[in-house]
Amino acid sequence: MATGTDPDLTFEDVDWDAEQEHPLIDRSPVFLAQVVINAVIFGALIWDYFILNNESPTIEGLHYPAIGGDSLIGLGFWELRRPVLQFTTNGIEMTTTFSVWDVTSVEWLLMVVLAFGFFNVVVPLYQNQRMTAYYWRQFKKNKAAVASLVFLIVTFVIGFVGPVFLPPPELSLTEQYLPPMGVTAQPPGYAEPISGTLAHPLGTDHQGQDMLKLVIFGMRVSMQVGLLSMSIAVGIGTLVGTTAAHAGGIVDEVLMRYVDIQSTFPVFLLLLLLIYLYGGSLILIIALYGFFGWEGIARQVRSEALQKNEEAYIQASEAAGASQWWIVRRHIIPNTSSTIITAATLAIPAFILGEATLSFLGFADPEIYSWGQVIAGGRGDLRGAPWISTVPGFFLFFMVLAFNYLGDALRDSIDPRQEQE
Amino acid sequence: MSDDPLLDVRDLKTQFHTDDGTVRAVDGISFDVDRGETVCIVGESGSGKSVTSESITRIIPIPPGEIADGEVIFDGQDLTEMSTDQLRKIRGNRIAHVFQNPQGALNPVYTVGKQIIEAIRIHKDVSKQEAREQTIDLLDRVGIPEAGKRIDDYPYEFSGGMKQRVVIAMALSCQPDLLIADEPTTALDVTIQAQILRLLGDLQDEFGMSIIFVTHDLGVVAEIADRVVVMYAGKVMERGDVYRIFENPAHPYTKALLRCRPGQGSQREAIRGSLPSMIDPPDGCRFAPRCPHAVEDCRDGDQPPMMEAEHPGHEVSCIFYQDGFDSTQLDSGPEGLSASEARTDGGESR
Amino acid sequence: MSGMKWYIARRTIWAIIVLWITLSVTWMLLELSPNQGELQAAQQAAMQGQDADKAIEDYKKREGLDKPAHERYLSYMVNMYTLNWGYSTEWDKNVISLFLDRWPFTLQYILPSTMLTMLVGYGLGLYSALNQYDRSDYVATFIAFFGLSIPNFWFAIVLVLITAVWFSDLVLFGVDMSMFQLPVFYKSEVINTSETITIMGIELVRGGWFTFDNVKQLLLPVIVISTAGFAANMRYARAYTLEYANAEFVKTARAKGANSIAVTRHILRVALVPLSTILVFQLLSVFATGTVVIEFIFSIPGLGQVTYLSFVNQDTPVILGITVIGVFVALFGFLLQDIAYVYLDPRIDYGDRTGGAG
Ligand SMILES: Nc1ncnc2c1ncn2[C@@H]1O[C@H](COP(=O)(O)OP(=O)(O)OP(=O)(O)O)[C@@H](O)[C@H]1O
Ligand code: SF4
Ligand SMILES: [Mg+2]
Repeated sequence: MATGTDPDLTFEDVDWDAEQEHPLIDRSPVFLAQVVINAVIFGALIWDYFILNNESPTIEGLHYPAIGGDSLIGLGFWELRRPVLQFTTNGIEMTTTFSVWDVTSVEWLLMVVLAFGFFNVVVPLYQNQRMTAYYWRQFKKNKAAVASLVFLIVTFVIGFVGPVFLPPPELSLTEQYLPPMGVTAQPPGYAEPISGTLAHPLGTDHQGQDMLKLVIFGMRVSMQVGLLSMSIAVGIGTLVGTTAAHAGGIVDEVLMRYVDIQSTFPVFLLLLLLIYLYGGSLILIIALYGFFGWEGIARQVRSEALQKNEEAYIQASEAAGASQWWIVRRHIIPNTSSTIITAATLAIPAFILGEATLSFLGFADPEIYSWGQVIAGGRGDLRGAPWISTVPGFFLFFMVLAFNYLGDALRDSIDPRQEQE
Repeated sequence: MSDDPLLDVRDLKTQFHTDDGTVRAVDGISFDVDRGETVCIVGESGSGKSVTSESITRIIPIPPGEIADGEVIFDGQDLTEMSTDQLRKIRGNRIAHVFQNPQGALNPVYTVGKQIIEAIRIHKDVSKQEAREQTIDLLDRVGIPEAGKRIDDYPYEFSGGMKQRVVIAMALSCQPDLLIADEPTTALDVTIQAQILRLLGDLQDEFGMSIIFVTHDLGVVAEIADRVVVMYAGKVMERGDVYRIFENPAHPYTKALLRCRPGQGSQREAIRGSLPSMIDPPDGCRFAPRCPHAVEDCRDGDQPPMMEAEHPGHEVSCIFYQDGFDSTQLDSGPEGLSASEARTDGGESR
Repeated sequence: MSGMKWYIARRTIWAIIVLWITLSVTWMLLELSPNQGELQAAQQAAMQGQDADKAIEDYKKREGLDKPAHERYLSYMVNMYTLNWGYSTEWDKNVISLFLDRWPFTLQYILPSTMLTMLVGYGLGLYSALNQYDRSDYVATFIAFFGLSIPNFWFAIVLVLITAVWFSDLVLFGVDMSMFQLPVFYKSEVINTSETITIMGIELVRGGWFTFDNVKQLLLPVIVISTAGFAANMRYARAYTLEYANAEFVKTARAKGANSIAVTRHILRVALVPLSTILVFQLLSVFATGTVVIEFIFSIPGLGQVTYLSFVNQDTPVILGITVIGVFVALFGFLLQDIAYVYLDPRIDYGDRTGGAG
């Protein structure tokens, strides 16, 4: 009925094997690039863990001496400092000015995930421009979703680039409870009302930490949790769902029974239990949400794959003697991609909220700049300094809202069957 | 009985407002139905048959739908002028519907008895017990064995043909004057189809109602119709007596439809191309892009007005029946439809 | 209906098996992790200058940890299934009686929240689907996204900020808002007091669950916890209603001459079937986190607070007990859901449950 658009061409209909010369070994340049990038990341990871002293940063010794010494204290957030890199090579200390980054295990994982996402979402979209254009036309009808996408991209970039260039928030006994710019308040410990200044655009918290910096550092944590947990959950969910659907019989029964059991165990209690047993480091929280948050995805992917299983090309493939694994990887997974992408987008906000809740309750690593923790920290000063609890909450709220809107719009544009508006 | 037709549809226009634009699903059609007769609406998929039949009692979804223009005179009253409350007193009571897909036409979570009793009690002031007895009678009448027991069964416990009988029983529950059956047999297999058609015929004799029968099966049309309305892309192409239309089709579209009927031997072929856009329909005759006889004048202005073909009551919307054209030209075997051009992808008349 | 009885019996047996599996997993987790009591005993011994190893051994003996694993597992299982859940050092109380003391405090706001969640969620979802092209649909959808996205702990804080802090000295349109000020912290005295007041000659006891004071202090918790739950329910209700709103049987109902209430009933009754399969899951996922957060913020002495404090204070018997209760509530909920599903859908083939979650 729709005119002008090309309703027949979607992710699901792309012939994923069309340009395949050899059915078993993928030699396309994209695939090679993917292998190379992954090799580089893993190489760097090994370098980080085995060659470098584990205690030292990957790119070592970041110090942020203030430009011009102490005289510039008072610039607050804007107190840009020149990053200085210090090496210790063979006992000789070397200094250079260079941007510096201590790559943590979470960040290694994230790089793998981003590379994977790039090669499996961005590259196919680029290669199939007609399909991309079609999706884009569908997607951009939803203005709220487009705004959400822009907001998320900006947040993502600030969250990842910001902490590389910005020094972390610092405690300052002289700058506690400063109100945000343009706000006048009388915070605890102050005899007179004071006004916020440009030095700390969003004010400071009860320990004098700059709120804007806390917000930026918190963005990174939320993005890390959302993306990584989602990747783990989507990975497992997809694997279990497609395997169950394709293998059928006893395998299906056992897998889905397990899914039943896991969804009975209250995830939140399980998280508290495991955090109680093993401590609440960021990577553990990410892993827990990933490993215990995939049942819904598995169920969805399974029922989608069950429908696809019946379709002609899979049966043709089977008749041609393709291996089971080949069929799952080459046909079923790509052909349930719309379900997977939507589920992935909607899983992210759930995990972000989960982590924020845990750190709000104080179960997470206190070293991590999580928004939940900042919100909890300001709870006692609601009367005098309400911005401490409210400001990070707005960012958290909008981030989750944006992901929800985006997921909903993706469902509508990729899978018009589900809900038409 | 008065001389007025039971139903007189005049210049009816139904549109759907969608994101892509306004779909002119039914774009100014007229036909009438006399008391006790059966009128068939035929046309390929998407030509607007269902929208027409659902516009009569306004059960199309509004919004996005809208009856933009026209009159639907039923027994002297214009249904398009009525409020929804007034219409509700007519729906199911004087005009009843039977839909294509019996699998979906019954609510799966209520027993069939409950659904028929509901239909009765909406319009008749009878006790539950009375309604139940009437329901058993109805089920019995449409040929459900052991109706007294099956009344408490759920729809999933019936086969497709049986379900359609239940739906017909429900439609007949208030002895309607007009039954609108939208492809009631398409989803059923051939033997069941014949049974249902026979049942409808018997019931028509018994209750004396009029029937509007929507279908794209010309075999069925030949069997049951008194008169035929041929629709294409929201317009009426031709209408008239069933014998005249079958023996002497006037419109190129009807001719093509009849030619691609099963059992027409080597003549059988699909009509090339597909329906035009209903959002932005072409100028002139809607059929022009696919018509083998189309001439320059066909692509101008509006759809040609209904002109009388050879006999009174047999009308056709084709430029060749206007003054200054020679309709016999349509009979010469057009090159565009020669058998060598046989079936292509566009043949949508399933 | 023997098919249905058999079906429910099977679901019950399955629930018992799942309970057993989760209990075993919990036991294994505890076995594999360092034992807090053991560490404490060792530390204490070291501080008092005694032999740490001996202290650990004594501790193990006291707690029965020196027995072989299978014996420990067996006695753990027996204890769990016989409700012999041990003693809480933190509360100085039997774990079971601790829970018995506390559950009413949780139930008093969970029950009204469940009602609100369902009524408002389904109502709004239905309404918004039936007015799909209306502005009200967009408004309702926006409200749902708001509820779905707002972090409940932050929402609670913002509500406290508005109703408790700002209302205290705010005059809005000449109305002194301090009238509407709501309490920040829950006071259990409201329930336990036996103070009486006399209104028009009738003597009333002020304390109790169903008093104005108690309702007032539960208002914020109920709002916060209902917001998240209702939003999810509204989205599902809307989606399923839309799915059926243009179904053939709805057209049949309208063609019969049914009025809009009857037509809506047809839609809702069918939509309830898939909705029933996700309701419990929805409620559980909101309440599991919600109770802990809400009782933490508003200091409600219910099971959520016990959960929080037991983890903070590392009170192992209570943690275990809470875990079992969590699993049990979930299983019981899913069982109810299965039964509801059987009643709602005549087509069920008693073979397989179609998913506990959406
Ligand atoms: N609710 C709706 N919204 C938008 N467009 C609609 C709607 N209902 C029908 N249409 C459009 O109206 C046109 C006519 O549809 P209709 O269902 O009447 O065709 P039909 O002749 O009954 O075909 P079939 O033989 O397949 O039943 C189609 O183009 C269809 O897309
Ligand atoms: S008017 Fe022209 S295009 Fe239309 S049917 Fe007649 S000849 Fe064909
Ligand atoms: Mg139709």
